[in-house]
Amino acid sequence: MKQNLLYKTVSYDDAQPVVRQIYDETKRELGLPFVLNWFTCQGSNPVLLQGNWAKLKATLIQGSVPNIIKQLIIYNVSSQRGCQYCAKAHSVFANTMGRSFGENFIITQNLDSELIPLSYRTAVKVVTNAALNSSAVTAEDFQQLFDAGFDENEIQELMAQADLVNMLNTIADISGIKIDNELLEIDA
Amino acid sequence: MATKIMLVDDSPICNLIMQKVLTRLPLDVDISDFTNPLTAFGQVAELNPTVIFLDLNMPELDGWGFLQQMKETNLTHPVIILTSSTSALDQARCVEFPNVLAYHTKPLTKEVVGALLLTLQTDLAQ
Amino acid sequence: MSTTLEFRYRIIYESLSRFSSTLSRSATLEEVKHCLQRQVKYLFDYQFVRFCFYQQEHYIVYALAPTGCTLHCGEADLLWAHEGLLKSRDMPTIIDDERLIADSLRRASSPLPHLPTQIWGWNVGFNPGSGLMVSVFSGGDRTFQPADVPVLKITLENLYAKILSIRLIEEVHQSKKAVEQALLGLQEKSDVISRLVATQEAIIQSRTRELEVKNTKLLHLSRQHAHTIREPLSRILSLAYLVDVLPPEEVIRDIIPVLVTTSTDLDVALRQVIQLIDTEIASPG
Repeated sequence: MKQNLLYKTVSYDDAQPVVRQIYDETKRELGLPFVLNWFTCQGSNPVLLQGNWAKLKATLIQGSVPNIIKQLIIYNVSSQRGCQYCAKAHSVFANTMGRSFGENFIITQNLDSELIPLSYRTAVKVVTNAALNSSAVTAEDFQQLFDAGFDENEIQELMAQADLVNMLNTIADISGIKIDNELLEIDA
Repeated sequence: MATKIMLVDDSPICNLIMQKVLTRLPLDVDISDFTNPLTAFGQVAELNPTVIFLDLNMPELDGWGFLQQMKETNLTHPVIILTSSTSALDQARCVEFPNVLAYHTKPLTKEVVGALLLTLQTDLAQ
Repeated sequence: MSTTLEFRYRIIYESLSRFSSTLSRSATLEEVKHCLQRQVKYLFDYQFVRFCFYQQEHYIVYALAPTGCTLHCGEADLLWAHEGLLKSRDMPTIIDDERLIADSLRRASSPLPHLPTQIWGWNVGFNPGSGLMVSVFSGGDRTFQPADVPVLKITLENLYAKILSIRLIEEVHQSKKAVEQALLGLQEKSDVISRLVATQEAIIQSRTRELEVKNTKLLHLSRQHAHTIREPLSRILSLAYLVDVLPPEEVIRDIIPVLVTTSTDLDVALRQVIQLIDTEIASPG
């Protein structure tokens, strides 16, 4: 999909001060030396950018659940849904110690390995299903999370990744942004 | 000529003692004794004694008052103070009165009597 | 390196960092409980875990199930059946004796989702008479694996150090409290002593003032009365001189009667003086 004309990227240099402030905050919080296209494509609307960034920050960056579980959920949902931008970006974030998982990496298969603690496997499995088919969530899904050792707060935080990833995917898809060159360099 | 002696002491026994002592001295004495200092002072000019034996501690008029009045009325009769006071202050005060010949403390002993005699014989002879 | 292993290391890296930072922020045994409840599930799989800290005869036991964690402090009777066995060894031990496992689990507060088939245990002695004993009840879909051992070892080291430091801080705090209590007691005693000393000083000062006043009075009186006494006394002595020098008949006639009178005078004078001194000394001020 081509970049949509409505979602013109606003570069850091061209951004108005209030947008620049948000760009700066994304760099600080994500530990990146550049601004992701996912943000620059919203740079022409500071109010929406501010709200969407606040949601992303509260859900993905803050909280008590390990960040890698969240990144895995977002990667898993994005790749199953076919959002290439998010799948690539979050595969890099999920594995900042090394290279991203590669084109044909299917996380559910790898996560079946007993080397990965049950809590991770359960969280990724249950929340991925909740994101892709939220109406199918049942009490049994929550029970699985409880049995894996998550408490109410942690479960809320996990489920929030489901609605976050839907927003991330939607914006990335409809704006038609391409993966950031700088991210590809990190992964190279 | 007899030595005229005036005894002024509020105690009659003291005066008696002095009479006994003085009459035994190798002197010709004429003694008048007074137990009331005021009466005694009134008689000084008339009796015109050779010497006055004066006690210090007395009621109504003490020895110092007696001397002061003598001074004020220009009576210059020689005075020998005879007192039971051993106070150095009393002794020092005597210099205020040139007519005080000597200061003797009671009781009378052989030594005091000897010193008295010496005072009478030497100082009064002049 | 396989992707799964990379994953594995990435996960271990993050979960251990989280565990140690959360643990290091825990200041009480209760906070440690919350840390275990939240973090251990990211480290390895388990049906149930017991961490028994021991120091001499004192035990601190964390019992961790997926749905909750409990904390108990006490003596050796807190130990479960299999832990007696573990205590006597200081090496990793796998217990799969069903009866022993069942024996231990009889004391569990709530039933486990799956019956454990194995206890993976290790008594790690960190100091003489002190260490941390762990039992991971494993089985079903939650199997503790040999690959988890290094992670468990780091977990135990961190946990032991944390519990020890909390206990040390508590001990220091308690000794401090005891010292403060003792100081407070001493302060109270010192205050009492100070008050007593102050009272005594006041008494002494007032007595001293009284004595000074009385001394001054006495000096004054003694000067005054010396004269009163000395007058008849000197008369007696003068009469004594006359007794020596006068003829006997004159002494008998003239001296003896006045000697008697004068002696009476002396007696009267003495009585007066004594009475006056008594009155003066007894009167206040």
